Amino acid sequence: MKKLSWNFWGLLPAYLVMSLLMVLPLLIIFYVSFMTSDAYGGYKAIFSLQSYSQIFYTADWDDNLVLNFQYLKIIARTLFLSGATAVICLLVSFPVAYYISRQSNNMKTFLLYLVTLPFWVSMVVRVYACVLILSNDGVLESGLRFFGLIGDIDSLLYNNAAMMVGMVYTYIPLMILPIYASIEKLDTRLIEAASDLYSCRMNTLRSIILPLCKPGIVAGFILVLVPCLGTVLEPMLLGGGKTMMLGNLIQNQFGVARNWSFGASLTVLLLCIVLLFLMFQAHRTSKLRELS
Amino acid sequence: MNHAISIKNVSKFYGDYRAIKDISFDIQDNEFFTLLGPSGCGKTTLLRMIAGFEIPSGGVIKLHGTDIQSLPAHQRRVNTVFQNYALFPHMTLAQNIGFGLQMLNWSKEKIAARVDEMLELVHMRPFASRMPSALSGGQQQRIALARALAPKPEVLLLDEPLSALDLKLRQSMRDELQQLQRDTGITFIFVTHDQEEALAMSDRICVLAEGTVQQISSPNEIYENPNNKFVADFIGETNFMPVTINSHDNATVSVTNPLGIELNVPNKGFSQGQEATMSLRPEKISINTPGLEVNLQGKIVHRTYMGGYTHYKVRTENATELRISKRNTISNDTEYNLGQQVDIGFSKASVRVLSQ
Repeated sequence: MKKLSWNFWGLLPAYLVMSLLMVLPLLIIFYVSFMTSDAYGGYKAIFSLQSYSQIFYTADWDDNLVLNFQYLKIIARTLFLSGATAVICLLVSFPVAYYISRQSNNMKTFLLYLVTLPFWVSMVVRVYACVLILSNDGVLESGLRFFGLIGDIDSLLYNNAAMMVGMVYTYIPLMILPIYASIEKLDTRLIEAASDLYSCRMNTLRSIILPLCKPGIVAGFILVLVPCLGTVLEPMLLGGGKTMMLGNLIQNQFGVARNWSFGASLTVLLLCIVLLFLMFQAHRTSKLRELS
Repeated sequence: MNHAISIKNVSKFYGDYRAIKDISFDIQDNEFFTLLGPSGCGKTTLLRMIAGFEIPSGGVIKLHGTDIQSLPAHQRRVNTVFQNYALFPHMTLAQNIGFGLQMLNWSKEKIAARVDEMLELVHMRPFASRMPSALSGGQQQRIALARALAPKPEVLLLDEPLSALDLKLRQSMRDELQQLQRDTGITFIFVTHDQEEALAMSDRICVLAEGTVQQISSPNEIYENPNNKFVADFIGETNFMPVTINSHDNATVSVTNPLGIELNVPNKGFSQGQEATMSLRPEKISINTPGLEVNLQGKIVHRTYMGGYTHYKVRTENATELRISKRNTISNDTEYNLGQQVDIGFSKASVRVLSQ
């Protein structure tokens, strides 16, 4: 028998954890998604594509399949809100990351510490903080009212904007850090060289700084987008359950809706969307590596 | 006379540290001018102030008679060749060279023609569509030159551009740079800490130390008639000996020196009894060559063979050690051995007496 190397034994715990806690559950989800759901939760081991067709179609009284936009709307909303969140994060993060990269070393460490600090607090608490800020008579509303900037309004909470505020707040460190890393690596002499060659600041930003920070920007974009797609907490607490995202829909199927197969098929769909973005990113990095 | 660059009473402070101390000089049009000095002497700071990357704490810098103090770097008609080239890594060589022209709003056709011309000038035409990372150091150097020359700047600034190249390449680039300066007729301001580079290429050299100008002269003057001990020491090799000024009149002084010989040298404002330094270059001393003004006896105590020439250390009868450099003009002929007694001699005109 071939003697197994140290590498194998050393990595065995990792292999076990990964296969038992990640690969196996995913395989189960994949399996369940092709089964028939049981009316009382769980599933019956009968092959069926019903849970996939349910995403797009619904059966009318005569058992004809008609297009149903109910779930597609949730998917579209998820994609849109996640994309918008990533864009807002990018617009906010770039100046922040640039500012941090231009500070002294001590200051940099301190500011990066501040950026990562929220990660040490439970996500539920962080989202609740947003609820408190946005709620009726919360800090923001009473503040705005005090300065006479708003009159009587419905509520700042429980809408798409509130959900986005929460998502931006939760995931923005994931954008700041990779962008910071790529700006930090940027050779400041290139910026000098550009201005030496008659380029004004705006143009230096556009034609030198941004293209060279692109790897960091793309990485940050995907790091924010991917968890946003599956997010559950923000729609629950800040959306007030009125507006759903894909994460909540899936959660419901395994919970109150008792439709495991449908939940599993939605999970597979979400996984496919995420994998698509990750593959794009992996393809990009390998191409970049080839270039250099 | 038209000055390309005119620097008047320029200073630069970093907190309490004075990097540049009240410097004034002019650089002629169409000149190859070198700022030479050890690291930390302020030469790069001075160059960066001309480029517009640093703002002087005081004084005026003029470009062809116009005060450029208030102009940001991107509005100054000067271009820089950076020490590590600073080529834009995400652009092809042609795009790199064309960048400045694009910023100056040249038309597409004119840019293409100029980029072509520049690639031809630095012998890099076949590489136009390559990326900078695919080039060797020497090739990147040429592209950096082409990029800086393309917009036809009034003055070209070169910040130690040869320091990252290996010796052979550095030497051939010296000739190329000099040729390029003559061909283009653009004023070059070259920053270096390498005295050989400075001597080889420059029309005039400005020696800087600790933020002040030590001497501005032609390479020959700098080497043969240094202003002070620092310049004599920094440029080339030399033998220093402490001397005392014995007597002086307006034209000459006579000095007492450790070699025990009588010397009369031009008076550069010395006073009687003053301590000064005598400098004698190693190659000005000959071994076993009759017919020289000053003749001494000594013993070879050290020898370093360098191929084209040999460095000797000779201890004279009065225990002064002199470094002597001798060209090996005839093969395997006149090697002197350690411990060998030799006659050494030099001409009094080769001796310089410098203030401390």
